[in-house]
Amino acid sequence: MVLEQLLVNGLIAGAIYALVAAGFSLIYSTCRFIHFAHGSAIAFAAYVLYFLFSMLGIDFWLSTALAILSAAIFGLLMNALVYRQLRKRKASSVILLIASFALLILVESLILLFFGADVKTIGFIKIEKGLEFFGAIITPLQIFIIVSSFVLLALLWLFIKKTRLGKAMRAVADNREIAAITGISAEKIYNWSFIIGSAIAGIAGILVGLEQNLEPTMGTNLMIKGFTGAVIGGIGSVPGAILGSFLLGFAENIGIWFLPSGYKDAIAFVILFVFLLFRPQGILGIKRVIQK
Amino acid sequence: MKTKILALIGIIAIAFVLAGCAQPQGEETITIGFSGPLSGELASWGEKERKGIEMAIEEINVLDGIQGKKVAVVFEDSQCNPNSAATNVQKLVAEGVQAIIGDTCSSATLAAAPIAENNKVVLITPISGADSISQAGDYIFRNFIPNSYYGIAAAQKINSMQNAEKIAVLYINNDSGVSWKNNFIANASKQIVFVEGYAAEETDFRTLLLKVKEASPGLVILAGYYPDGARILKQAKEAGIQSQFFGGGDAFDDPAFIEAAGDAAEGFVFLSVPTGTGSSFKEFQAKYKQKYNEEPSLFSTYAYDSAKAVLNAMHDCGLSSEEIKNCLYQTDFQGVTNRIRFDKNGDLIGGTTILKQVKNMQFIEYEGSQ
Repeated sequence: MVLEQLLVNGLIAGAIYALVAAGFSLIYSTCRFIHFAHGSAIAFAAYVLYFLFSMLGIDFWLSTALAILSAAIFGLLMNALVYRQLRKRKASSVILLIASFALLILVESLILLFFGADVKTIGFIKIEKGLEFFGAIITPLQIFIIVSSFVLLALLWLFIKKTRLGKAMRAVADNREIAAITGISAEKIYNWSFIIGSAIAGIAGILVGLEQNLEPTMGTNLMIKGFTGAVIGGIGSVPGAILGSFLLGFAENIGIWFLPSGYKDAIAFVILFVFLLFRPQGILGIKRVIQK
Repeated sequence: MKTKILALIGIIAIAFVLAGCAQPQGEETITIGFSGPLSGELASWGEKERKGIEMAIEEINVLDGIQGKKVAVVFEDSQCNPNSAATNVQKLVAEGVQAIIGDTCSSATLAAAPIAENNKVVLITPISGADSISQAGDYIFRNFIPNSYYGIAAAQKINSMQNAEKIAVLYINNDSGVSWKNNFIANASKQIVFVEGYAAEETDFRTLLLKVKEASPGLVILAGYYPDGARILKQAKEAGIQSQFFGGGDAFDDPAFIEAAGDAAEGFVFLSVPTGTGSSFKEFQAKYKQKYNEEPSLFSTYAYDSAKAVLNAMHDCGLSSEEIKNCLYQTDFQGVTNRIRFDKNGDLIGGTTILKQVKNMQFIEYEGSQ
């Protein structure tokens, strides 16, 4: 019973981390820099949902759709207004990383300004005891999180493998210059990466918001976990990011069964350190020379 | 382009100068300081403290202040963060204030205390519980019951509860939680089957609660603050934990707790302090409701009494911090919360606790053992 519950807990955590990491990896693979402000898309979507549903009283499903859409647009704006301008000035990926930190802090501060710092609840799901599933207890929302995570990630995989745009993204991820020669506009691909990646992050934000309440820093915390998952699985590889995130989810939850739960973040960071030191390309990544 | 930049810098500079000049510099005002969570997760507390203090200031200014000078408060935001609290006190000390009300959370107060003590500035916390504050210094006062009292009171109440043969204790991993937990465990006579601390920023308690469930306690004690408490209650309900939850402190005595926890708060019992007692409280309550359109919270009343203690000391003994400090040790007046007297450590003498519970999403007095 305990082991099943731990596995379920790990699945739930891993599913959310995977959503964050997948979008982040998609952006990294095409744009080649660490977009830490990805976390702000998470918080942004959650607060938009709160604003539309809890404050304005708009229908829940419509609010959710609008929240996801606005996260996608928000991601696009981040690229268009900040990153593209820096790229035009030949900024290196380190500069873009620093800019992304600044963006994350800025967005969090704006959310703090408009909504206040107290914990907000989206009161859509009634709190009640979960269902029993093979000896573990899991609530309907948690099942929904796991299922939708799997579905989304499968769709993302299909998208990357089968559609034209997906193939174009892989081309740009592989070698930007040659892709440009074959007529693929790198800027267009960047935009699409941000749109899709941020939309997925938005979904993660909404799910976390429903499950755990909202606070302005919710994006940062998840981003760190998602980043860790992406590094473990192979940064720049979307399947790797997903694998790494689930592994992280399991490692954390099984780890704190034996250790006091205060060590959860420590476990995540130790794993991150170990991978960065000994296998920086992650589990599925290929060691490659950094593209400039 | 260059001219545009120069113009921009010029405008910003002028704006700052104007902002600086806009504040009437009073040699005619007495300033006291405040440090507390005016923003952040615990902002609900800081806001209420601010309201209580402003009422005290208003009352004295209506009577023409102290020695003919008006009193003003500089409110600094610490977010209950120890670093910010230390910085705030540093800043206030540099501005020359002689007394500071703060901080709210024990860890923040303990970080700020050495700075106040070294600079011989009075620091009075209206609500922090950690025992070590008693030894924080001559200039450090606490207008609240320390955790040693609280933990003992909670242990006594629990020892007499029926379904509490096996108990688990979950505590927030900071000065306040650790101090409370130690006092409670030292005095509890029931069997303690599980004890664990959690990080303040933790949001996912599922596996921790799994461990609690495995230990099957009849009663789970929460020694934490309301944001984490709310999360634990929600996730415990989802995990199907049947045990009764018991909150160790006044940290849960805030409407924001019920808002955050929702249905999961129903039936929650906790040990708090009375918001106020006696006729002076009734008067305060009426004035507070009229001014702010809401019921006063214990955070407002304790902050109000702390401000009153400082103002009375300034009025009776003088405006320097040494005079205020000496006066505070001699203080004896009826506040809206308790009779206000401080022992040789600067702790409030006396004080009572009261059991409350959440019923129909409201706080009421505890109705009897369940």
